[in-house]
Amino acid sequence: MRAQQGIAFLVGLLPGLIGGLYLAWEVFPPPPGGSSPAELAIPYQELWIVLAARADAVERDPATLRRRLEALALPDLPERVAALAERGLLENWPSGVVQDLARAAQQLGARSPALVVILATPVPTRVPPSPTLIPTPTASPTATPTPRPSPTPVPTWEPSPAPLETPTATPTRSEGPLVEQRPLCEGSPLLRIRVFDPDGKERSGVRIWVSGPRGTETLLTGLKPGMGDGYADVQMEPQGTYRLGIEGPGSVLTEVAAQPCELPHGPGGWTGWEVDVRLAR
Amino acid sequence: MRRLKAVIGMIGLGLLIGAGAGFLLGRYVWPVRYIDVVPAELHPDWQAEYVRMVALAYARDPDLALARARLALLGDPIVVLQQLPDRSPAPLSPEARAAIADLLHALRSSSASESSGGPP
Repeated sequence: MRAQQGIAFLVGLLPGLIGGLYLAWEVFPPPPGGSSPAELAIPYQELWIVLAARADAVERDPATLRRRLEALALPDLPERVAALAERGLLENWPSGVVQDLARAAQQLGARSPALVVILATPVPTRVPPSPTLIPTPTASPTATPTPRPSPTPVPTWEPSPAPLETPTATPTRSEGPLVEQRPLCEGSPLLRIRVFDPDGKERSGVRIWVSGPRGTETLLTGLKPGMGDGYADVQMEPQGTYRLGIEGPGSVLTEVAAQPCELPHGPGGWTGWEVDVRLAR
Repeated sequence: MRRLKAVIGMIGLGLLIGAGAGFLLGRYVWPVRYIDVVPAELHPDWQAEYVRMVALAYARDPDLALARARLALLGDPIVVLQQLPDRSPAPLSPEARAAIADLLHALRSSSASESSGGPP
């Protein structure tokens, strides 16, 4: 009798439990509004990271930064923040945002060459050039008519005529970087860019915009280990035309194309390019 | 007959106790977890944190349209900002207080000029 009642109780208990869970989860769930940042959708989590980094740049409170970001409960938080900084760099986010992200990642313990380069790059005070790299028509310095000194009678009492300083049309634009480019015939064409400072030393952390058939890419010099501080490259597509520009005042634009060429041994190849840029002083 | 009644009674008792236990377990031990939520579904404490960060980001880069769009995820930007001191669980830092005041001022000026300077 007792055993029968026990079994009957269990027979009722099990569906009761299932029904209770169903009621709690499906019929009367708690209203939304009590979520933590860890439950945010991915785009909002990224926004949260950006905001935390920006806020930290004002507050400078590492404990608060850590508390805000740890609320996301990401297992690889420093790497995620660093990856966001690198993504911002490649997608041409404002430099200030990228640097704040890089600084936050560094505070969390992330280490990568890209972070070092991002943090070493000065934030431009002007708006970065359009990523499409279409050169905007700028007013080129036009030669203004120079007023020629008319032959005026020189007073005889003047011992010697002082050398007249003739006004010359001086270009208002500062001298731009020097570009030197060499074609190379190769099977898989590569655009190799090397940036030097005015003293001829390779410079890392220079942002280069390369616009080609695949769209516009942003490169940063110095990220390829063993290739030199000023080196960056991009794979070229056969027949593709590439324009490149260097961020900074007096940005340089040059255009190269992967044209068919003859390899010394073997089938035809394509012209890759080596472009050396020496930045102006 | 009496035995059958007792068995049915035990089944009913089991159902009731099971349903109660299941509901409590589902509500408090393994509660529903919302995922992929938007900022408006955050806990009020976290919403306050979000608003504070938006204001500080505005102090860093005074882009009013961006700040407005970010606050609009929680509702009317001016109302959201005005409510922040009441909702904030932690005391606001001086920087945050200044940033909130600046942003609130900018939003009010902007909305005032929009309402007065619109086309007839």
